[in-house]
Amino acid sequence: MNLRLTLQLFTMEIRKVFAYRVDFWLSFVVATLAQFCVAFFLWKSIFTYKAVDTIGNFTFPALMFYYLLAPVLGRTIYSGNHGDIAMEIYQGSLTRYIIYPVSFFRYKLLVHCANATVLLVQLLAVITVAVVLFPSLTGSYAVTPFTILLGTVTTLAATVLYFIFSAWIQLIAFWADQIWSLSAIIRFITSLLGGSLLPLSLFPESIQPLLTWLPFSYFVHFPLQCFLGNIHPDMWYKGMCVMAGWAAVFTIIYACIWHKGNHQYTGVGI
Amino acid sequence: MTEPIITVADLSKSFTVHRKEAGFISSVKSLFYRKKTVIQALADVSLSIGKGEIVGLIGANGAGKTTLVKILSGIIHPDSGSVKVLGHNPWHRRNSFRSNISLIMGQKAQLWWDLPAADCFLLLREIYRIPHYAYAERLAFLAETLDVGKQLNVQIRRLSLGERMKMELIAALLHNPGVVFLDEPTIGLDLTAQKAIRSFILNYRDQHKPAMIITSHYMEDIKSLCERIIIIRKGGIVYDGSLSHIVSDHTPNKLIKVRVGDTPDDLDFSAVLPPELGGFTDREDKNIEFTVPRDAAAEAATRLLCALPIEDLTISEPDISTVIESIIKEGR
Repeated sequence: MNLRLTLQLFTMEIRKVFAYRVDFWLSFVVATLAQFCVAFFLWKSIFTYKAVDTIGNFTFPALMFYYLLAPVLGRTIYSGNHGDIAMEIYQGSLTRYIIYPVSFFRYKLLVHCANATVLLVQLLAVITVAVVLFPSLTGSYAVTPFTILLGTVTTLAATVLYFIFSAWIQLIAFWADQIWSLSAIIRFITSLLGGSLLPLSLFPESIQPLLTWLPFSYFVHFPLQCFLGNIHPDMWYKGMCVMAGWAAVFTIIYACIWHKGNHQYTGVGI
Repeated sequence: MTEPIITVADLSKSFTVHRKEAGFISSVKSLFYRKKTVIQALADVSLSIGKGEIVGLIGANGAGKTTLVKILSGIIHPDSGSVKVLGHNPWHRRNSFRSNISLIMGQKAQLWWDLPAADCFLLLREIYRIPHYAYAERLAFLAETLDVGKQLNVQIRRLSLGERMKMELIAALLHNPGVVFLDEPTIGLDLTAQKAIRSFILNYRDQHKPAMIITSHYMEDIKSLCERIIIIRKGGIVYDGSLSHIVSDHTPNKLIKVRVGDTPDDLDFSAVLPPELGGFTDREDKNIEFTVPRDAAAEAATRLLCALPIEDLTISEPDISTVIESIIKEGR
C-alpha cells in the first residue's frame, strides 16, 4: 500500500468520524463521564464500606485516575471494531476488497488505526485536563511528557496488536457466518485480563507472572502503565518484544485462516 | 470475434447448502444435525469473449449466471476448469488483474456510504494509482456525461437510487478497466435513468472497447446493449450466440396478423390455409392471427390475400422476450 493511498485512507476514515459530530461528542464526553461515574460510585462505596485508604497499591484518587483513563484507552485500542471484519464476510461486503487492488488486511488495519488516532487524541485531551485541572488525581503517578510520549507509542502498538488478534478470530465467520457471541466472549476476556475492568495488580499475585506473557495485558494494562509512569525502559523493551512476538503469531494464524477461508467465501448478496 | 479477453473451459462449481425444515422442532434439531445438499451451480461451462464485446448473461434466478460472474471476477474459486481473464487466473487476485477489471452491482453499494462521492473517488484514485491529470479528465468526462456534476459533494447515502448508480458507474470506470462486469445495472431505476445508463454504457464501450458482461432481468437492457447473449440454465449454457439470430435459430414459425373486411363468423380457416402452411391461432373480431412455418410465410401470405378480403397484413417474428423465456424455461 503506497504512502499516498495510506494517507488518503487514513484521512478518509477520520473524515467519516467527523461526519457525525453528535455521535463524536457523545462517544467522547458522555461515554467517558458515564464510565467514570460508574467506577467512582462503585469504588467510593467499597472504600467507605471497608474503611481503608488504599486497596492494593491504589489510593482512591489514584484508582479514579486509572478508571478515568482505562475506558478511554480501551476504546482507543478497540477503535469501534466490534466485529467489522466478520460482518463484511457475513454480508458479502468483502467482495469490494477482493475486487479492488488492495490488501484487505492492510486496508482494515489502516482503518482501525485511523479510528484509534481520533480516540488517542481524546485520550491525550483527558490526560491533559486531568493533569492540569485535577492534580489531586494524578498526584501518586509520575505523569510527565516523556511518559505520555511512551504511552502514546505503546498505545499505537497495542492498537495494531489488538487488530491482528481480533482479525483472525473474526475470520471464523467464513465458516460460522455469525460470530457475535464469540466476539462478545473474547471482548469480555480481553477487558478482564487486559486491565479495562480491573487493574491487573488487584489480581492474585500467583497469576500475575502468567498475565505478562499473555497478549491480553498488552491491550490496555501495559500502555496505561506507560502513561502512568510505572514502566521502566527495560520493562518497556521486554513488553514491546512480547507484543511483537504475539503480533507475529497472530499474523501467521491470520494468513493461514484467510487462505483457507477464501475458498469458503461465496460472496453473498450479489 | 476480436482477440479473446475472457476464455473459460469446462468450468464447474458446486455449493454445499444446509437445509432446515420449517418449525420449532426442526430448529432445535438443527442445533445438532443439519442436512447438507450439494447444488451444482455451474457444470462444464465454456465460452470466450472478445475485446469490445457486450455479452448479456441471461437465466432464471439460481441458473448460475452470478456464480459465473463471481468466478470471472475472482470473488470465488471454481471446483474445476480453467479461466483466463486478461491473461490472468482471476482467483489468484494479482493486483495487475484487479487493477484492470471492475464489477458494478446494482443491488449492492460499493461506495462508502458516509462519504461524498468526490471523497470516494479520491480514494479510488489512489487505490488504482490513476495519474492526477488523467483522473481529473476522466472524472469530469464521466460526471458530465452522466449529469451528476452537482451531486459529487453529496454524501452517498443521501443520493437517489439513480444518482447512486451513476456514481457507482463512475467509480467502476475511473481506472479504464479492460473488463467490466455489470450485475443488474438498472435495477430499481426509473425509465429515464435506465435509458441514460444504457446509452452511457454503449458510448463507453465504443470509446474504450472493454469486454463487458451484463446480467439483467430487464429484457430492455439486453436488447439495447447486447449483440450477443449467453443463456444459462441449470448451470449449463443452452444458447450462446447473436441476439438477432436467436429468434430465427429457435423458432420455426412466424406470425401473420391480418385485418379482414366482412367475413362470416364461422369461416373455416383450414380451408383458406391448409395445415402444412400453418394454422389459425386466434381471432378477435376482424383481427386474425396465423402461425406459419418460417419458410412458408410468403406463400401463406399470398394465399390469405387471395382468399380473404384483407384490409391489412403483417408478418412478424415471435417476441424475442417470449423466445428467450421459452429457452430459459425449457432449454430449447
